[in-house]
Amino acid sequence: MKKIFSLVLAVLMVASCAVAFASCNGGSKALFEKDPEDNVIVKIGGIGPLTGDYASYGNSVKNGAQIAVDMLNESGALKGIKFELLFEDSEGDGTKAVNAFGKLQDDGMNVSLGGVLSGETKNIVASAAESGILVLTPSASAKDAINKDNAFRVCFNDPQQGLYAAEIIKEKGLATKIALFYDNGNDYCKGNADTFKSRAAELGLQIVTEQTYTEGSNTDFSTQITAIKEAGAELVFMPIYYSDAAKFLRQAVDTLDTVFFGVDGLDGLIGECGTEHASDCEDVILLTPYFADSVDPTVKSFVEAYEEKFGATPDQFAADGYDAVLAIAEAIEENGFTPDQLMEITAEDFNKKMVAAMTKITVTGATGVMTWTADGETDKDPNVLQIKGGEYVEYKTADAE
Amino acid sequence: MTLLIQTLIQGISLGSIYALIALGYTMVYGIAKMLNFAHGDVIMVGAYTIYSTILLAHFPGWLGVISAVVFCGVLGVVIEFLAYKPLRGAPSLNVLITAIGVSYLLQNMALLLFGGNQKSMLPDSFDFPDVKIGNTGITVTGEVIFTITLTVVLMVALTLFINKTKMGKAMRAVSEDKDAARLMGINVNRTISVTFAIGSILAAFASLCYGMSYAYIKPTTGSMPGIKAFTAAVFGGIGSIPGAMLGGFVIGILEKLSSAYISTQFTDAIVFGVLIVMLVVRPTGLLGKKIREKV
Repeated sequence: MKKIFSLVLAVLMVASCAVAFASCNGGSKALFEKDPEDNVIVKIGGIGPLTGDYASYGNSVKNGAQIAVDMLNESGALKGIKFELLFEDSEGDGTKAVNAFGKLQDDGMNVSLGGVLSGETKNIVASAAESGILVLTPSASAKDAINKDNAFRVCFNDPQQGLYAAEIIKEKGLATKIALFYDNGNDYCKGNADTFKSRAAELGLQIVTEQTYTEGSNTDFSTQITAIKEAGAELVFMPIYYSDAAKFLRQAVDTLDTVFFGVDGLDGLIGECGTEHASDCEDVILLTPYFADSVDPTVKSFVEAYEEKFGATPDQFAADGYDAVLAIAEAIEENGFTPDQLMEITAEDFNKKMVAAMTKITVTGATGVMTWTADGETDKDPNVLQIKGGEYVEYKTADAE
Repeated sequence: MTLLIQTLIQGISLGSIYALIALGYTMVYGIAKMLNFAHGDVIMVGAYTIYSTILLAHFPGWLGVISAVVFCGVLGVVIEFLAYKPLRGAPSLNVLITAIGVSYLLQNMALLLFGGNQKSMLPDSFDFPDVKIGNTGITVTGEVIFTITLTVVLMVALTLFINKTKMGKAMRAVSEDKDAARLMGINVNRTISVTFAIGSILAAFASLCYGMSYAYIKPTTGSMPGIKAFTAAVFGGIGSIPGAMLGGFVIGILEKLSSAYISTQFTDAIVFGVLIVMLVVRPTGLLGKKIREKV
């Protein structure tokens, strides 16, 4: 009985392998699918943490991208071409992100949004190099996260943010004695801290102490806070994520009367402190290329659509996700693809043309006016924002008011 | 000097939390001869109970604490009844695996109910004023004072309970020799239940201290303090109540000193390294009793 069973199982396995091979070698299957109204569907595949510590980022990117997809589909900007967003949860884990990438490929993804975090994006970019599919990550900021020719990003890279932060602190005269506080097991935090350090030294800013923690010790910060106080810092530069920042501020505000300065990882801090600890994040300054109260028409229409659909104000990650989809649409337009062409094009050809278009396009999005260089970096200006009464306002120095 | 004193105070505060949790480990081990690895997660349950009562249901603070104490106490008894009691005669390895299973069950239940994002456990009003000591520059936060005071009070109460009450006497008897205690007419099962209840109630208080010091909680909140407290219990001599108290304080102070003077990166390595050295040099822990093997 057992023998017969295993024989049947073996036959089934061989059969299923044969089917799989047949479908691979067939080659007659078009790259794109059509919807009932005969529109060509371009599938955009996103991956990011939808649950866990960094869930706020993943959900924001997903929602922002969805707004762009809806807008493009409603306006019919590209004739006969519609977009569809597929989004998989990575829980912020590199291995899970690679698995999700494989799943999205099986689901017929045409363009990848990479990952939301730097670490996972690095893995995705490595997996994507083989097919050469266009990877445009909204928010992975580590310098080496997009180290392949087919990978681009919407956000700044870390060195850029660290540089800008040092320059702005110097320019606005915020402080001369600075304490660094970051997670040195994290690419994003360490990347920012490193460039900040070298730029600060060039600008004559003094780093009085450098305090670090790791993911395993991100609960009790009392030692670091004591050291920052002892060192007599006037400003704490903390290129960290909002969830750790909320914990740090909760413990630090009673003891430290320094300025707290961060980069775009702090976006989400207002929500994290909530109404219970709103006073913790008051006056925190952060650098971000986007802010929701901007009077720019592109930002305004995005914010309105987002608020209507999700009942929340979009943060920077949402804006990054939105801009990534706009850039993909722009790249398709740049190539002048018609629906008929798309139905005939090979994957290799499509990917090549999309990647080539990235360095030629200019996109006006929610995070500013962007162009891309061949190494995947974008060029745009950051805003300096401060949290006041639970909202972001543009930072003004005392004498400018 | 200021740094040293400040660090020691922080160490004692952290050590108090470890000691409260370590008491639960050591009492259960002393009486039931098992390692209850779900104990760390009882803290997490306590934290979420306080969060639910105060922040979700908007009850006053004291009610939140009481409900956490009651809920954790009952939970401890229920866990013992459902998961460990049926395994009373089984090899200790089975019980250990079951305990790990219970730990994951609790974590995943919290994940299901509250999601994976960190939550602020207490409202901002739950803040005690800080105390500045003269002009030495030393600040002792209100949470630290509260934590240390609460721990000392609970330890005195526990010591009195174990040494002066009938139930305490029964617990000591069961811990010394379960079979002999049964022959003397002590209800062993009830004694074990009470031990679990007391351990879990101490965990509920530990969760209050944890929330006041660190504010944010998530479903895995209990694991690391749980492991550190277990280390403390072993360090002090598992099964020994004064040992758990001492071990908690030693581990807490050691952790803070090494992070202030050596490296915040290697803190855990140093703490666990000291545990290994301890186990090599003195396997029974600081105050552990040498048990003569009966052949």
